[in-house]
Amino acid sequence: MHSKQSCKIVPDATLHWKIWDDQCLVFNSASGQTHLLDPIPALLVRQIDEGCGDSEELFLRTVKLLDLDLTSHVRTTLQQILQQLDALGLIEASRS
Amino acid sequence: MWLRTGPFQTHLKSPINSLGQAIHLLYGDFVVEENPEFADFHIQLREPKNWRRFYRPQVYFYFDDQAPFKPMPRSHAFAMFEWCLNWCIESQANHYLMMHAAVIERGGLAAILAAPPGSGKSTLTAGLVNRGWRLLSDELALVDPGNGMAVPLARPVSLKNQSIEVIRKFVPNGVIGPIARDTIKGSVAHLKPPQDSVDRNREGALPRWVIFPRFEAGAQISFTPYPKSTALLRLADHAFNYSQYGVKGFEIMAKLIDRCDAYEFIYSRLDDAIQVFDSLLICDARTMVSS
Repeated sequence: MHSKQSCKIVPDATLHWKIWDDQCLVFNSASGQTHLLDPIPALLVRQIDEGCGDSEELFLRTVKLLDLDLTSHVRTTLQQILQQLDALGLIEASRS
Repeated sequence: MWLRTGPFQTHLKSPINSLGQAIHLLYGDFVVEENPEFADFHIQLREPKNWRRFYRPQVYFYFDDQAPFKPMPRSHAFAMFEWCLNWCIESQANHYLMMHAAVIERGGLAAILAAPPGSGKSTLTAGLVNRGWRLLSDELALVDPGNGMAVPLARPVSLKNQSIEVIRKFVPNGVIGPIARDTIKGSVAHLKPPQDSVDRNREGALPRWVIFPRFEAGAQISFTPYPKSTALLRLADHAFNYSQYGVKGFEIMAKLIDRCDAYEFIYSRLDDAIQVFDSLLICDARTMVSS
């Protein structure tokens, strides 16, 4: 059984995107910070921004988009990315 | 004296003769108006009325009759005037997106040169504007948030330490003002801007290139394309009021970077650097013809 997380964009924030090639910039209106994200973190944030808040569903959608299997290694990597995005103040991830 | 520099009108009062002489020398081609109705900045540079007038004389800067900074030696009066005018603009002109960067123009297209102090940005700018490029600004890049144009603010180019002699040799007919020695930045002098840049001080230009220059003694010249996303972050780091603009600042900056090519540029010889910059225009013209 995997521990599920509930993810959402930080309160009162609107995210503004600019994408050049495979580099994504996102401006967080709540913090006033601009972040440069690699493609996979950007993909996660975009899906959360679109309302996908359940980590399990988020991971399944992400691996499908990337044409990967959700192995334990991939899951661990995605969880670490969520933690990093939380630390950046872009999302809030909590145990559900 | 009422001095117009780009979009700003400055009302300067000072009894210091050496400052008047330096302004006459370096701002001689600028528009000086008689009692206009409005000034953006009311500033004064004057000596304190105490014994210091006779022993190591100093000068204070006053902005709206307040002295925000400690005094400097009287021999630094012109450098102080330049720094304080920069400070006035940086702290007041938030209707522009402002960056610590030089801006030059040729063929209607502007190159923004963004670099930290000591990178050789002003030396490069001084060289380029005396070889066919127009000076829009040496220190402060102003971007109009409405149309994305770079706004001209041609003023004397600040040269430091070895750059003073480098430019004296490179521009033998150039007019260089008094050297302020032992400042916090070392020796500082200012190069008079070319007449054409002063005459066109109301004519904006569309940014086409964002360049991060760096002087490295003895280095091979290198001109490397730079990713747009990182260029935006780096340019935002040079901006004084990017965060004040919030999402609008992000959008202005993204639009600016969108239409620019970004490069990292390392040089050691001004002649080589000028060739590279001239080739930018040729490449751009070729692209326009082929597209």
